[in-house]
Amino acid sequence: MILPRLVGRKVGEEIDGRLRLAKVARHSVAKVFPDHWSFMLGELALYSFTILVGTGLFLTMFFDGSSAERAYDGSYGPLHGAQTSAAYASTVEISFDVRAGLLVRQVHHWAALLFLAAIMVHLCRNFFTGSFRRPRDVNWLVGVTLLIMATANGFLGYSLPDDLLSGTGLRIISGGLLSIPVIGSWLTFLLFGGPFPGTALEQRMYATHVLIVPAAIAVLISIHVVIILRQKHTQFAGRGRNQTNVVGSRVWPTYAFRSLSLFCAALAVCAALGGLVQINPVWIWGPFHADAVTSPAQPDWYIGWVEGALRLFPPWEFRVFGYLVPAPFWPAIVLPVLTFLIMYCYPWLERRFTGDRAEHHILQRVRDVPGRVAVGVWAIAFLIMLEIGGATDLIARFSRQPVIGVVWFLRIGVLVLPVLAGMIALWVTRRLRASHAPHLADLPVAGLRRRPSRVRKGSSDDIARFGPGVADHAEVDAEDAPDPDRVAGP
Amino acid sequence: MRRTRLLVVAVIMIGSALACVIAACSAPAQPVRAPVPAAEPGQDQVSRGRQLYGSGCAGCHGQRAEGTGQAPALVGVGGADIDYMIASGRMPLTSPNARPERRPPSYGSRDRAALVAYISSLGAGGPEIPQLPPGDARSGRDLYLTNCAACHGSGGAGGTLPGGQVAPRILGVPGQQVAEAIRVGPGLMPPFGSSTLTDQQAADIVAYVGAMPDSAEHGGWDLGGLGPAAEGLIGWGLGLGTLLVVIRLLGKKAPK
Amino acid sequence: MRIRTRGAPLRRDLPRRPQRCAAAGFGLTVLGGIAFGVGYVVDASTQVLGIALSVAFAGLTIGFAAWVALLPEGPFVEEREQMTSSAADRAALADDLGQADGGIVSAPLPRRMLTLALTVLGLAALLPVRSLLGTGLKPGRSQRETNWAVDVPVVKEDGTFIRPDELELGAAVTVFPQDRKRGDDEAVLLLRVDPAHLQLPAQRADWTVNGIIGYSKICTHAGCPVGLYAQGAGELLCPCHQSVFDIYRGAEPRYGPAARPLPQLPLGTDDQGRLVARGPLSGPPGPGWWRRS
Repeated sequence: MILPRLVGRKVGEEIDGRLRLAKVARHSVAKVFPDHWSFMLGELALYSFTILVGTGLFLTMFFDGSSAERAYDGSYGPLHGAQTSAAYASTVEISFDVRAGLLVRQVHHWAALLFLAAIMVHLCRNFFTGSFRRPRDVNWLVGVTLLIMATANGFLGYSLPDDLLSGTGLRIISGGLLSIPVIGSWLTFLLFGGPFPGTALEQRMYATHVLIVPAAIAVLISIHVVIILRQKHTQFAGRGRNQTNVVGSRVWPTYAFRSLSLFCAALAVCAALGGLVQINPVWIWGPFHADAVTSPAQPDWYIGWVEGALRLFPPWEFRVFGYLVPAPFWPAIVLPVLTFLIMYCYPWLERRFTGDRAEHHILQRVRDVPGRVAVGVWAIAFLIMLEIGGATDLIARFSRQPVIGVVWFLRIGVLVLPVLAGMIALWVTRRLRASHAPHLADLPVAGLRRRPSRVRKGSSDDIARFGPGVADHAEVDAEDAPDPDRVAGP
Repeated sequence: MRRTRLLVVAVIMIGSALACVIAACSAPAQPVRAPVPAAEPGQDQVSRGRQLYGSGCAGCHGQRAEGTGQAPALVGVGGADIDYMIASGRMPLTSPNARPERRPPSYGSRDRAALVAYISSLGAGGPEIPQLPPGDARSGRDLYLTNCAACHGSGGAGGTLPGGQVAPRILGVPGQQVAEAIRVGPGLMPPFGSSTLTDQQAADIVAYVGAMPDSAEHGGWDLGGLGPAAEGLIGWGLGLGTLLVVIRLLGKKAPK
Repeated sequence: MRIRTRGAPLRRDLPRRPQRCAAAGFGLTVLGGIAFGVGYVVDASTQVLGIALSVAFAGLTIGFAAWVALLPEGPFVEEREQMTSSAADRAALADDLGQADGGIVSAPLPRRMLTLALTVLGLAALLPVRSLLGTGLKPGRSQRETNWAVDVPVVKEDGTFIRPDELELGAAVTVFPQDRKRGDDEAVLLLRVDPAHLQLPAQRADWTVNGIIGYSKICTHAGCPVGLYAQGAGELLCPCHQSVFDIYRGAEPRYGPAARPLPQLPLGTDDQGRLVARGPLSGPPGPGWWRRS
């Protein structure tokens, strides 16, 4: 019991003797983080990434990222002796002949699904509470870039085994890239090293998935965290909380332990899913051949919105100066580019609309920003409708309806339902604000019939519509001032 | 108190999700069937077949299997088609407007053979019940992925066809029925004759379909073989859902 | 400098239940870890390994979460400054950057030449990106052309020839030109239908042999193989985005996002009665791109 502490003290002395860390360490240990539960979503994404890197390191020892053909000689009977790419053969070998290989593979893939889900929920939290406002707009840019990198790496990752299902997805991407006017063919041939599928693709995907994008993600995450440390985390309004302080628990030991617990929970969930629920069984899908296909054919969920757009978008092609602009251009290229462009620009778009250029460290409650909530709910509903659109064949099968009926229903639905959802969200948020009910569940029925009153604070009509956080102007009472003995140093 | 409430909510959510899954997976109630008439003593196969045909099939397919407005002619479709339809329980239909679907068969193997013998005696034509040699699952895998996976799925989970039709799930289907379906091409399925797929090739496919269940759940619950769509739902529901509950329990609520 | 570990004296009144909970949680981890280790050694199934590992991590989760109950709650407060530097600091920085070099860094001649130099070098350094194209095919002709041409025999996947009478009514088979490229956009679906149902465009009416038609198998939307053939309905369904093609009318897209029909292959027989192509496909196979035709 004493020995580790003595060793630890000695090691600490030696390091400090070389780097003079005591003051920095004291400062870091005493840092205060507000501990609302929704602030842990970003950590969840970080821990999922850590799990991905850890399991990925194991997998990279066994996976052969090459399209060179070789005979499979592992223990999966139906594939024995078949000539497949080294990538496919090594993936099936990991799944059958490497001890714990399938567990690590499945944990890796489940962690990827979790990574993207955590990023999206984290993004929603930041969006609805207005934490992307100045000075954190720059961190919002870093975050959106992380989302794009994570999506790309996920797609590359499940395409690496060169199986029939993911190869079909690669074909669709190549069809989408080809549809870009003027440069489409050249861009596709450049990336694929020739016509689809070619032999260069596997190697390029491997290097990108294992080295280039993870390095970029690691750098971006570091920047993301450093910015948070420099600016300090935002917090919700409340007693004793204002624009010039941070109230919460200290990094050491409380916040660290809580965060560690979350990390272990993420590991537990990934391990349970990885062991109990099969994911991406490539030995069943079979090796990729460009003239074969399997159905149902869906991508991983975070690409599902593009897939849904491709299925729902009408067959509109036209010619520009006699040159063809094919149908996939709009759903596969224009939609994602526009989406991410708007996401990047959103802080400045909203700033232009509200005229709010001040620095904000207090978060807004959802009820304070009905306009933004309407936009956000519209976007989420639109995304969900597109995701559903990506599974039209499954819906048709289980509802026993013709596919074309499902497609038409969703084509109209994707235009109408998100608008409806946004309008309902706007109405509910305004009622919530007007009624001052503490919870949505406490919103009295009478409050629903009351017409919304004008916001009592706010200078211009625009600010009144979107509403600055009422708590931005919260005062700190003398009695509510925090205990001076507990103030951590600057 | 709040935490207990949260836990209760979580348990209810997971419980109802499981209930939905179990309800979806459980078979629908079997409709009541007309009883099969008992065999008369001294009957040969063809006359037994005539007796069964008269009670179970003639109403829709006509007294001489010539077909009616409700059902096609059975003369000349071949023994494989009759055997397949009866063995898979698709025929006889439980009601005139029902969709032919896999069900527990109405007739035992002897009665089925009798029906095949009777209808074949009315006229020859289509493919007979295939007698295939033992097959090799390795060659069958390749053939299956090229010819069958597009409609039936790589894992035999089935697929969607136009017009509200479905290519059925073939995982776990007995080999004889797979062989017959290959030769006959029931419903919207194209037939694969001996020149398109030789007897050995068909046998290989049958062997591969028979070997599929061994590795269908090698990694755990296969989610019905539906692929990434189901994986995404589980990832969000069980994965992120569980962790959101954990986060809610670990963190604090908004300050007053 | 000696770091003194000045821990607080051990409190005897620490709550018992969180301590026990934490201990129980970590005990669960011990069990899970042992189970995982044993499972690995005996080559247990993925499910057993996964459950063991999950139990181990769940134990850690519970342990740390319970331990948090023993830790100082807070709330603690830290001061926060405005994120803009003071005017004095900014001015001092501007001075440092501007004056330290005595004006040499902002001299126009070397600065402008540097801009030119970096631009030229930067553009030159981008050129090796073109090496990604490889020494192989370039876009354009290679996208249009396949090995389908006059008198090229039609063969199945295993290389065997096909005679018209070998294909029965309603059958579908994937075929290739006899010398097929590695690119595989040459895959064609041969379908045998009742000739009475055919309503092909006039110039392609004689592209069939006894009701056998050939269409490119590569979807004109995004390039997936159009593998689902609904035999009775005369429809080809692409599984990727559910485009439906009408095979009686020259594979015109009937529903779904595809906008162009599947190219058709002109079929004939050679003097040995085997199926051959009588020319190239009626259009370039696969997804569209920026092209005139």
